[in-house]
Amino acid sequence: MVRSFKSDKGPWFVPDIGLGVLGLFMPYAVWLGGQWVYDIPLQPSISDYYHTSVGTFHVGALLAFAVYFMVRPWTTKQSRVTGILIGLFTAGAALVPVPQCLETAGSIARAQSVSGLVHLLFAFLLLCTFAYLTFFRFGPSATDPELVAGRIHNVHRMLGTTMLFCSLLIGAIGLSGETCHSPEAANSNVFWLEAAALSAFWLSWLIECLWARRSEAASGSRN
Amino acid sequence: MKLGRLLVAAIILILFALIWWTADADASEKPADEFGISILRGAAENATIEDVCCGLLKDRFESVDGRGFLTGPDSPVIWLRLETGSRKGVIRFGSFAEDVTLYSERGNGTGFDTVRTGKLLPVDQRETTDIHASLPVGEGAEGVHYARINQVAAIFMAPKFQTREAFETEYSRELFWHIFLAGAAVIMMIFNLSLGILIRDRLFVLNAFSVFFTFWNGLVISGLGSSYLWGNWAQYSIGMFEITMMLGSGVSAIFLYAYLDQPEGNSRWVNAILVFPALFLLSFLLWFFLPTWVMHVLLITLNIANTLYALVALAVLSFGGDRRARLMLPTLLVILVPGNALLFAGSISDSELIIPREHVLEVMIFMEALLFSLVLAYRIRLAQTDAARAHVELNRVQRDASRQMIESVDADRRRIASDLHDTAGQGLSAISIRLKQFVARTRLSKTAKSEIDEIAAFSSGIVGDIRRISHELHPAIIDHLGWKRAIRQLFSSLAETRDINVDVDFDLGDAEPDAGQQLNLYRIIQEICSNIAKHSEATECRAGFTYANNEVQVSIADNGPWRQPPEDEVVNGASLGKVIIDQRVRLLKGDWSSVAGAKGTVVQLHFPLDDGNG
Repeated sequence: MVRSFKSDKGPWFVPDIGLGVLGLFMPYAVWLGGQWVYDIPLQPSISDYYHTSVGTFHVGALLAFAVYFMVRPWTTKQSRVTGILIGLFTAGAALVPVPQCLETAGSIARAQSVSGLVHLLFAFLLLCTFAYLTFFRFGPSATDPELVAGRIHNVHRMLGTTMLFCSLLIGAIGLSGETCHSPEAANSNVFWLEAAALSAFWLSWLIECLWARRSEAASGSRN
Repeated sequence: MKLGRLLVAAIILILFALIWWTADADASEKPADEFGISILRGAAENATIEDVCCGLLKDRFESVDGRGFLTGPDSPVIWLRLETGSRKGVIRFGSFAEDVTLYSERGNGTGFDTVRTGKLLPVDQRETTDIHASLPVGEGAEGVHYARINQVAAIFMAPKFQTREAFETEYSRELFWHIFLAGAAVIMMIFNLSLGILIRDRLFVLNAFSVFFTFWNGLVISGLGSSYLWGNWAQYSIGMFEITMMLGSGVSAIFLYAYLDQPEGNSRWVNAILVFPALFLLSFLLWFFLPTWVMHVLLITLNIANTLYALVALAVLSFGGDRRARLMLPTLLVILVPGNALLFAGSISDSELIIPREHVLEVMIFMEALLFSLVLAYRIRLAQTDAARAHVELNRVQRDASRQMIESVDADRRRIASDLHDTAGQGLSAISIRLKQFVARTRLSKTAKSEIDEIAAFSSGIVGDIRRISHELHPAIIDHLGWKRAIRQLFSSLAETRDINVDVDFDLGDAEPDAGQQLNLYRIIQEICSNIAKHSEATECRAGFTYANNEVQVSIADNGPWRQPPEDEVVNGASLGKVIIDQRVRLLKGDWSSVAGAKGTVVQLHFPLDDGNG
């Protein structure tokens, strides 16, 4: 397994952790922050917060992820390409909003439908590339003991499987129902699935950050 | 080099002249002298124009001293009473105005005409398209107007009154400069992004990102974005200010880190730069829990800290001898200091001559894009210079190593040749003489005499072989006869062994290579002669040695067709002979070439006479 993290670049650990913490808490921040500060009820999906007062936070955080993934150095070509793809998909999901339910007809309704599908596509591809990163680019280093390496692998695999499972369910729900969500809809299954998938990824990210740091320190002390 | 610096200095001077000219030009359109402003703070959000003009609130207005007043998040709704007299024209509130409604009392006392605009209003709700929240004072107005300003962002607002002609002239000029400077910044962004992708240099891409978010931030601040780009989503303008400031500053910090990053490791000053992107990312999470104005103060403080840290780190690294930091520090100072000084002077001074305009920000963004691009381009040049220097150093080390190796081999050969000559050669010669003396002194049978004569002859043959080997190992002939005769003997030997007509010509005048050069030249000629003997079927060979321009020039041509050397004499695609000649020519600091074909081979080499052994 090849590490994606440029672990020899110690200083990147700090913004990596910052990004991981922001990513981990982002779904819950929009939910709780929206509810407590702006009295916004739980939305059908994270993307639906785009049309609320916390939309700016939502878009800003996604853009921060996009930019960071694109500018951060990676150790391998595959990881670099994955980082750029994640950046593009995240920016796409941030800037192409999920349609708001309005009494519209004709071209506007069609445009909204296209916008919804494009958003869904970007979000689905984003979660898939996240899963790829977790499955194939994160993992123990060559110097880790076999038992520990196996455990680390299992944790990443479990989190990756969670992400894939959630992504497939989100895709199925998105394709089976209408792409124009209703903010008043009582069903927030997509929100929780998105939150679970994103939490799984950012947990995996933080584990990779911390483990890369620890392995590097252990390797340094052995040397 | 000097021309490049002059060009950069000229660009900077032109840009600052441009800032000054635009600021001065704007200042020349002075507001009317009699323009009186009174302000009312703390009115209820739902207070109406009737409450303000004619109700309980009308006596709570206070006169505004100086040029203007500060808006603030603590009381976002402000009412103004504006007295323009009988003149008609336009009242301008500035590009930062978020939501302004102007009430002009009709002449016949039947109520108020209202005009509303502001960058936070969706486009279809704005009653003028002007980005500066400029509201016309109509024909029917009586000279007293009221304005309701709903402004969350804390800015210094200085409303002014202009005639319509003056307003239109200024508006056209401002729009032109906005488009010109924004266009220039966009071109620089595209240039950086394309260049970064084409030459695979992450720094250019980072520069493009950094300028992009700073540029976006400028669009938010100036109101250009909400006027022309995202008017239908104008409610996001405040959030966009925070996002673009966080992203712009964060990416700028990453750009600076990547610029100073050294493959062999960084100092703590460089590594600590990446703390700022982390802080900007984490500040997102405080969004919900902090009031807007606290968030603004936090972000601006972080931004200032980021900039100050960058300057300190660059100064420390510059004093430590880091060339890249020395390049970036003055560039950053040129971008930051004059523009910010102008903004600061404008905020504390009443002088109309230094009223800052949003062009200052645009010029700073454009300069950031331009000057950072120049720095990056110069950085590539520095890297090329370093690479060239390293290449020269590598060549020198290789030449030294090669010289030492060949000198060591020559010394060993000399020692072995001497040992062979002095021990085995002399010993065998003595045996041969003693055997001959023994035969002369002693009565021996014919058979025994014949046997001993054979042994003596065999011994003499071995002595001849030892002399030949000894001679090949170290050409003592150079010491005994001189290098020219030694070389002539090489060709004579070639002529005798291969039946080749040889013509050797020396035309060197007084030029005389030193001992090391003589030996290297002898070995090279020896190798060439050996190649002619082994690999060609030449019948003619002409060799010329001339001297011109402090260089010895050698030309050796034969008429034998070129043949591929045997595989066991090929090393890394080149024949062993070629490798040997290469090494020797490099020691001579010279150059050589060999052109081979069906009609023969021509070898040419030249080397300087001075300091031949490097």
